[in-house]
Amino acid sequence: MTEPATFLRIRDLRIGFGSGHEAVRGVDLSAERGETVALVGESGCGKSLTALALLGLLPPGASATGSAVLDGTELVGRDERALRRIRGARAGMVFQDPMSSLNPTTPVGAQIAEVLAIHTRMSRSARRRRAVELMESVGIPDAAARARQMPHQLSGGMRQRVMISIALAGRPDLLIADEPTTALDVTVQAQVLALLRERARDTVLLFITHDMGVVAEIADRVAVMYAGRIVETGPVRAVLDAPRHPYTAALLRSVPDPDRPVAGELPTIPGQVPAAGERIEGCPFRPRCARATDRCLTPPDLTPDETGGSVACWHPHELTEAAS
Amino acid sequence: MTDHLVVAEGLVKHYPVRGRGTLAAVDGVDLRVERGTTLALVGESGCGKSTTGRLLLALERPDAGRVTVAGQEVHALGRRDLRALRRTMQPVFQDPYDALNARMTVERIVAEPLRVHHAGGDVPARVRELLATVSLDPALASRYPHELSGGQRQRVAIARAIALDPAFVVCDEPVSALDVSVQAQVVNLLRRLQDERGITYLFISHDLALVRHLAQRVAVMYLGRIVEEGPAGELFADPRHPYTRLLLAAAPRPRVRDRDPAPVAVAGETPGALSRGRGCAFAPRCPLATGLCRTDDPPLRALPGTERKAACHYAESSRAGAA
Repeated sequence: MTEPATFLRIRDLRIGFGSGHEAVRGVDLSAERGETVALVGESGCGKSLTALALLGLLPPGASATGSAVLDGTELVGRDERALRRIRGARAGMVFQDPMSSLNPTTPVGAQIAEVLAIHTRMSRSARRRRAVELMESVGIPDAAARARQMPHQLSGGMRQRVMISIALAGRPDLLIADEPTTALDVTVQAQVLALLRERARDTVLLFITHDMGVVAEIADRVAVMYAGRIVETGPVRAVLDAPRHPYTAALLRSVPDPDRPVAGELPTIPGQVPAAGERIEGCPFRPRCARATDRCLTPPDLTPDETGGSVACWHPHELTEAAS
Repeated sequence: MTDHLVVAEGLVKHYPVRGRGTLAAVDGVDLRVERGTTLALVGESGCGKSTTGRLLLALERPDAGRVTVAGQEVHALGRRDLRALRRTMQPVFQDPYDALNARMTVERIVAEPLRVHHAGGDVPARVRELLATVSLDPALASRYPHELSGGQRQRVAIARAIALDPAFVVCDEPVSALDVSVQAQVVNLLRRLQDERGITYLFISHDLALVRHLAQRVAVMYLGRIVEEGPAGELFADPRHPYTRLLLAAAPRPRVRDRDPAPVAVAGETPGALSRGRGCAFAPRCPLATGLCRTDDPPLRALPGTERKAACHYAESSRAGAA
């Protein structure tokens, strides 16, 4: 082997829709066991498609090329049978809206037991007991009684805890969480983030979000996506404290901070994200970037720097400059 | 004397819940909004903040209490007078897609209030002016809502809301559904409109960072009641109600802090508004609760030496600051 083994390694992942337009345009990302990587970006940047591709859950009409290897198993381009085995046993997923993933007419405990029936050889009564244990392990009070309730009888936070217990039931190596706290109240969000942090110690947690505040709470590393590409990645503290890509820096400036009010207008990013299918020449952020030059007509590659991060920019912020 | 454009006193709104009694969505709320300023109403889902907004706009009738806008008692008005008053009060909702008629062009959507209220004058010219005011490309006038981005749709909703030059606008989570960079643009627009036109806002939001940026005063709601109210700077710097402190602690910041989940993780969830007991509604989640809190419901009271009100027995105590 020429490179150290990496638990999850995504290589040149591309996701296209028939008409030739690419929504994800070459993503490279790796993560070690126990690491939480936040994939952050605005709507349409390709962050959710990237995650769905790893589980073979792309919407109809979309197809992926490239490679994603999870502990020796290739995830891209597998048939449905192989993917079904991978989902649940090796990879779990938590979505924004638990109601769309839960069966509304089945008690939640039985839904967890069902997952155990697929992935374990436990007896029926053992599955029932294990379901209650799993609910307890995600902080659901009075779990034995709650297990008999229907999804609509639980609060949004409790439903998301049920989803997390289902996602963890098969002891997955990879847990994908796509905006899992976006629909929750802030106090409940804080609890669910704490739970995910604690329970994802043995897995790769790929956490998809648009919220830099949530990134700060959960991630070890962050990858910022723009128009189907990763434009910056690095340790969370480095990226948030001293962003190097002009897009990351502008995005962070536009987020208000309750402890640090700004006088006057909030900084904004001029223009808009390129529309789906729009032809992009050179750096995708170039039309909105204050630092752009003619050089940016050539697309920059994601290039490692001395901080342990990488940035795809010809004119990145210097460390001292961005920190000021 | 301070000029309060909007005054709500003792607002109550209960909804019957089949077989389970009544839900006290709004349970005795007093609010005053000074002319040309922003009062933020913050709290978590189900706290009654949106219902309060609808009561102020006369979109719902309260079971008790009254709302006065520009000296007129809103719910006592006859149909004609209420219709006239509605010109001066407008809502902006979270999801512009739901709020805009999908079969109308942008031009017709913005022109509609002008036509309905017989504003007269050159309507097309006025529409062009309004679109320019909210920084929308005039070329979008012939488009339909589904052809616009989320941010553009919210600009259309704002253009429609300000078409009749309202004095009072209730913004209910107006940027929650938008991308971060677009949120900042819409927030700046709302603020600019206030500066230019002297609009008074009730800004309903769960996002404390936005509230801090936009509001002069903040009212925090919990289970149908105001638990703390005061000038934004003071309230953020030194919250006196334990629920305000919990909300502030839980608000995500875009920078890495020490990750100590303890204070928030143990704080439980809001119980349903059906189960309000005898004492303070927050007592079951409160780190400071004593026997007194479980038997005596603390009223919202002015805190001496401040411009603040809080509904907590221990709002002045040094223990409060330590929680």
